[in-house]
Amino acid sequence: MSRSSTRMRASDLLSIAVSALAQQKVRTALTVLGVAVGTFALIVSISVGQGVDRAILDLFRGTNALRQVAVYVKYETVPGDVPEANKTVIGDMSESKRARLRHAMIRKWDRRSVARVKNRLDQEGLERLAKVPHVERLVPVVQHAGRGKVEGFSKDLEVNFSSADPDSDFNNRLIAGRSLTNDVCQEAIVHEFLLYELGMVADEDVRKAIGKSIRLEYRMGRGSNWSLTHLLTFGPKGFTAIESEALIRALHRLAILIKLLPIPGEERVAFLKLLERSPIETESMREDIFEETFTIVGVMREALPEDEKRNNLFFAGNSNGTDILLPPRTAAKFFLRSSVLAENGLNNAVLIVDRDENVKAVTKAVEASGFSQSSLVQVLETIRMNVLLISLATAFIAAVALTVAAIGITNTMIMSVLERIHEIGIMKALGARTSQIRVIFLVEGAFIGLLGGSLGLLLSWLASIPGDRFAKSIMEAQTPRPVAGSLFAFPLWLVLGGPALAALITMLASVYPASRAAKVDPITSLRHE
Amino acid sequence: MPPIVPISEHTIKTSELAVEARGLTKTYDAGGSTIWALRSLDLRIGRGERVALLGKSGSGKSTLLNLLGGLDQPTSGTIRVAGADLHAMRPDAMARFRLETVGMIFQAYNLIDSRTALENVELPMIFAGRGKRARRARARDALAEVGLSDRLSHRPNQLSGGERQRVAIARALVNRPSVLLADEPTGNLDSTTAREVLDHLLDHLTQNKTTLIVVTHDKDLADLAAARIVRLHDGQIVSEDES
Ligand SMILES: Nc1ncnc2c1ncn2[C@@H]1O[C@H](COP(=O)(O)OP(=O)(O)OP(=O)(O)O)[C@@H](O)[C@H]1O
Ligand SMILES: [Mg+2]
Repeated sequence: MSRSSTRMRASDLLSIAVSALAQQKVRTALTVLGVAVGTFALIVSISVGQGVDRAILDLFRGTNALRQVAVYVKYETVPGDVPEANKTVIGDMSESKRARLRHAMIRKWDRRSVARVKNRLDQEGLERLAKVPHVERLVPVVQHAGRGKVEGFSKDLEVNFSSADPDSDFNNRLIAGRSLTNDVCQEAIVHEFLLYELGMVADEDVRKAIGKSIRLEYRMGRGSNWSLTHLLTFGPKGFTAIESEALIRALHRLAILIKLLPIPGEERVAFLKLLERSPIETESMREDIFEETFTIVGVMREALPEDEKRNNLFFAGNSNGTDILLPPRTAAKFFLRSSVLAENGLNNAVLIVDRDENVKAVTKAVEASGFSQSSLVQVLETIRMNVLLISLATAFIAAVALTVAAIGITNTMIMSVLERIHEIGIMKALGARTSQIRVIFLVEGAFIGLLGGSLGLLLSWLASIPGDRFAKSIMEAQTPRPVAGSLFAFPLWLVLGGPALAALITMLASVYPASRAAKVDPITSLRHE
Repeated sequence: MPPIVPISEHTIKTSELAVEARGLTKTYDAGGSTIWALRSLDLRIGRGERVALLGKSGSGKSTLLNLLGGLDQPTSGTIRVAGADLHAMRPDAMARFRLETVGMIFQAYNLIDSRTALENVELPMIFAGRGKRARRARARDALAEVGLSDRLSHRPNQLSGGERQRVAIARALVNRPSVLLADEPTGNLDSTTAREVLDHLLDHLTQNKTTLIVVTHDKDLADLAAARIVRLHDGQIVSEDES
């Protein structure tokens, strides 16, 4: 006999396992079925978890919503700003309670006074944000009321204008012309209603507006010496001079009436102070007029409820309800020309990040530079975490089912070892090594798992077809857009890993029976036949 | 008890020994009492020699064969088979010894019922890791040698007693062992079939110079198969003679 390798071939191991299993067809079928059911449950729960996760991602990825980071000015109370008297707790109490109350006093003081702005979204602040790595576009959020005059029309219109990301959703509502060229240009998109107000009524008239210039202006007081009168006369409503004078007369009459009203004295004093701090004549009000001229490049239609559905899920597309859209950086510059506004800065801006995976880094950089921020990534992470946890929980239950099936396999295999003890004895007497006998039974166990696992995979794939339809009918009731793709995902790792895991578990289940088989003593097993 | 005269002691050199057993003792514990299956037995068998073991039922013939075949361990004493010390062997080496050095034919055929004649004969070669095609061809040849070419795909329960024993012989010889241990190979057969089976066996042994130790009750058969007859009684060799 040659000293050839004494390792059994894989094909022989497999054929020994298969022929042994084939001898007990009913028993094999039942154990395989048990494994199949367990694997089916496991694969379905993981597959749905993966599929829903992917669907959620797709839902967000359809827009640039995931790449947006909203930046807000941060207000904070610095304890040092609070006068000592306003944060001193008087009385006898424990130190911990005193500390708590002091904390509350500082917090409440903040409500009554203006907290310190940590960092302003002024021109300089905006520049800083634009330079944050991975920021593809900065959209300062500007919304303001003013007046507008279109070339060739004498009518002066009340308008509100806002900044818009040139790529955002208003593009879906363009009925003439095109979108804004970029962030910085003297271009404007106007609402169809403005044109109607100017007398461009017929459907095809909207095209006549393209290429015309529009002059926008807004007014802004110089100082901070604002009063109710000031606000009422020069606020966004824009009263005419005659109306303003009438209003001022009315307010003065009101002041006299207030003196007669049966209200607490302090209220009366405060009210009078509010009214009287205003300058008497309109001429003396110090205010600036800012104006700029833009070229109309596009006309958008009114946003309807069905547009809401298709809308951006997040910040930088809130163009519904504005009359005029301006390129974001141009709008910010226009807006910040007022010294008052320039000093206070904007309230918020939206950053559009180049790629999803960089959003985290950008949010960190934004916070580091003293702004607060929010992004859908955080919301999305929470949703995805929930989906993951639910699918893990169901997968766990499925794994328990699989384990139960595996314990059944241990039991059946022990029986099968006892039945085959004579055969095992013969094999050992003929020169089979202990390890070879063990491997034969391990392969048999693994084969059951592989068979059951593959069957479970097939079943879960079959179930996914009606299952997907059912799950979609539930999910789509709550999503703005139809869900693309199946809610059951079968990534390669799951297709290969499911049956492989089943094989591993059943192989582990056969470790004990296999070692029982390996220990069979040939003499004892051969003596009685 | 007659004195033991190991006649081969001075005629065979150690290097030419196929089997050398010294002080072989095997006891069994059965229900508190000790059964002496073999008592301090010495045996030397030369290469290519043919020995018949005779003795009453229960005299220890099968026990001796199992020890020589590495299926069981002696209580005391040493065994060398084909130059290898069995007592020094680890389990894996012992398995290899059973696979490559000895062939065994059992008192009961010990075929695997679920496998065909061909598959039963193939079995030892599977454990040796041989390729399927070479294995098949060799098993087919081995079955042809014992005249079973037309029974390859029969299962043991579809074969007669003689045919089963011939399958067992083919299986024992298929790895070309240097020592063949046969325990009543013809015990279940009628005399005509027994002669046939024995003829096949002896042909093969002559061609391959295989050492034979055959257990039998039948003195005629012993005379036919072996040049030397060893008689066992109560686990001891009581006489040796040439047939
Ligand atoms: N496992 C065992 N436990 C207890 N006693 C045993 C065992 N195996 C064998 N024996 C005893 O050892 C003795 C020798 O048995 P062995 O099988 O070697 O006899 P044998 O010569 O082959 O007999 P036969 O011709 O009937 O096959 C017998 O008395 C038997 O009962
Ligand atoms: Mg016997």
